[in-house]
Amino acid sequence: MRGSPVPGRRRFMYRNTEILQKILPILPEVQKPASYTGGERNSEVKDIRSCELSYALCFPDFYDIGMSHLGIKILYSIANSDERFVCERVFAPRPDMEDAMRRNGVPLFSLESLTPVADFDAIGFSMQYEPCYTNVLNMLDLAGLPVYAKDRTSLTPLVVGGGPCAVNPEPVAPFFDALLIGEGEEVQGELLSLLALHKKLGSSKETFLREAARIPGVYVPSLYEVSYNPDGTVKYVAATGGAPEKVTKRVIADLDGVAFPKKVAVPMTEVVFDRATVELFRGCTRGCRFCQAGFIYRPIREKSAATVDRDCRELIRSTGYDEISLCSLSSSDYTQMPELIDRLLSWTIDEKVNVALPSLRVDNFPEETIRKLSAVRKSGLTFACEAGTQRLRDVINKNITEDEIMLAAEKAFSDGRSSVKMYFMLGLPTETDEDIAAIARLAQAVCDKYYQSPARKPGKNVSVSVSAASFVPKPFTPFQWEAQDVPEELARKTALLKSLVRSRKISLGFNEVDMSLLEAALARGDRRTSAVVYDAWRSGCKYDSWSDWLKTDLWLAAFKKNGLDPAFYASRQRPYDEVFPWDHIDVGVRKEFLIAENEKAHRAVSTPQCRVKCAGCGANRLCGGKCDALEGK
Amino acid sequence: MKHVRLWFSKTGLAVFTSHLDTQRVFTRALREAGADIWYTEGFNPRPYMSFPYPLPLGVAALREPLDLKLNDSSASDPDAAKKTADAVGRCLPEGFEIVGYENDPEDLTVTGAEYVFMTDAGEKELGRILSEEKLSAEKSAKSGGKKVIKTVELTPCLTDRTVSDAPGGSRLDISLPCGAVNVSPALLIDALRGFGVRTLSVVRTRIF
Repeated sequence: MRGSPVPGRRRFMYRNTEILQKILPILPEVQKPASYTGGERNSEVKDIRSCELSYALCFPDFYDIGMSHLGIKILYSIANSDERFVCERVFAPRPDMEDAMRRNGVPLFSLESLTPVADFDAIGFSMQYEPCYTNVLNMLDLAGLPVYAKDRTSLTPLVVGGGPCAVNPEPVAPFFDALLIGEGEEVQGELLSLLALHKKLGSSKETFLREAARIPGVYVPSLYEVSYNPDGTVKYVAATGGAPEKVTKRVIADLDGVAFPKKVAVPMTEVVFDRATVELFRGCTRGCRFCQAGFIYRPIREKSAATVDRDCRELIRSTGYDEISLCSLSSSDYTQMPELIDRLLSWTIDEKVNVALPSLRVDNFPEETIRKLSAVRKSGLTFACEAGTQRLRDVINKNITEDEIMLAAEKAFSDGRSSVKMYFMLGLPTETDEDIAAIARLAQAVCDKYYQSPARKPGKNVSVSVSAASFVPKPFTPFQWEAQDVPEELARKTALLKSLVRSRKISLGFNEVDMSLLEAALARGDRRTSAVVYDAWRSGCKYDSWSDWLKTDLWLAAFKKNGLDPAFYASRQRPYDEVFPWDHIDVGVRKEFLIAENEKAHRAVSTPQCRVKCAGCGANRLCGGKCDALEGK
Repeated sequence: MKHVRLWFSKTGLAVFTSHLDTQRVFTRALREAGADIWYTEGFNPRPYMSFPYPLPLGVAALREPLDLKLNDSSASDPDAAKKTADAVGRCLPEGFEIVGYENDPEDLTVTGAEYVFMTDAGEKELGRILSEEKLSAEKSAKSGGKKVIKTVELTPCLTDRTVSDAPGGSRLDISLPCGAVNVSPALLIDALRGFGVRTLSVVRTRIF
């Protein structure tokens, strides 16, 4: 029997015809053209011509990176669930597309309706890592907008930023009209509503920003003056125009009640992580002293197993994905894991949906869980040891012992695995060459474990891949006072480690030392570094997170041109009484707590994790004293 | 197990998805639709799908076959193909549509495909190039495990054609070999470009 199905899947589709006509001849000539056309399943297509407020949500990297990011999906869904708003996505065009766009006079446009970004009322950037800053400027420029906030005189388009980098946004502060600090689910809508109101009233940008600064979590850089000491450190940051002395981050107290997308846009073209991602909890109890995320997302808030399961079901149902990724900073510590896994397995096996569970700890490895999940598909295994000796692991508060590492390796191999990854860092505070030698020793010990394992396949060799990344001190961590090793020292340590690893079964990977230096300089940068970011971009820097694009010489020249030295930001040991460029931002964790942790680090004394004993970081102030790690949960 | 064939079209901006992307699109649509399709066995079960006539990037298509196997539980349902077609049709991204379905289809023996090229060259000029010039294009191929560049002579393949006038230039209706012997329309686009002719769009109207 043959036939045609009933027609009727009509979609409302408004596309900017001018942009469309211009890009149609370009698209066949560029790589991954589907990155620029939209039309994805579940992309929200509304009529941008008849909304109260239009909002371009920008991710300052390529489509295949940005479409793997959960945060954008959440913010997109929440913005569009408001009938008054139209939110469309924008990603950085790849170099070949950017060239073609500039040559053909095509401004940066949104995916859903191909609307020029400059025509939107609000433009938001989610900044995940410091090397994306030049991409932000590049995208504003490609949109045809002045990159400095002071040069954008009208109320719209309003340029807003957020994401983890926003906890120290000073290096990009002069480019943004406002920054959203912390979790954006509620404050995004509050800011957009206020903007919609002022747009109707015909207010000036200054009037609007003064009101916006009163919304908790909204940081308006133009209302803060920074004064410097002769030695280049910050003297003070003063709030003006009624803005709060300190901007406190927004925290979502109830993760079960907050909005979460029921459907997400499904890319047609290949992206880095192509699966349904659902969070388990925010914050981390482990207190590893190098880790910014663990501190800036405190206090701990768990989603209930029922909520996670529901979110997974809805996403799978609406997308056709065959894989779920449960994400958090330390998934082994999710207190409701057994219940969640049982709930998930009750339907994922039948529906042939794989459940991926990354971010597990060596000392809290849920074997039984993994065995159940592997019934569908087995995934790779990574041990984040971070340091080679117990002494250094105590310094950084990575509380795992060598015995625990060996036991985990033994179990992995007896499960039939023959490859593992091990993550380490080079340049941690108090590190000596002995610590580096210990990395090689530890990797070799893991190899040896394999050959002791009765389960190993004869003739099949083990493969241990060791990744040693350069340590970058970050704001709001106990190590925010520490000096990063200078590039020459990191290079020396890299060579040392290479010379100590002889076995062919161990492969070594390092990250670019230059990239780490840039990250370190920008992570703890002040407002003066914004001129460096501008000059670097102007002289041709962009896509800095891609090593074949990073132009270290141009960055160094930009620092020099502005009379600044990256070493001042990256490799200088700070005294405890120094005023930091980000001290006017409050992420919950108290500075006194971080100082105490830093002191303990220098004595190689570890701090037990929060569920063993609360260390009093102070983040629970932001939730009325509540923290899921406190209730004995 | 029951064999079912869906016919689909790929138009508009969806032409910029590759063959692999198209496979991904249908895998997801079938899952989202809850289609009762048979999965491959083994370590990595996937919905069984077959559409063996890849379209080059940028080429639209009006009627492409996608073969599926439905589980035995659907085998007795005479409406299985229609239900699958309707369900999948509702789960596709923009530019993809289901245009037909068949229960228990016969094997496809495809030897050719019909295309419509729109070019920016005038009708006379295009006609002249196709009659008088020697058209060839390069394609990469594997020979003895190594990648080599082969030159394909296109002129013998261009016999079944009509050139007509069109707004913006001219229209070429042409059949090219498809299937076991395959001449990709991308080769003709390249060959024409060598004579200064820009192809504005290509649509594969049917395979036969």
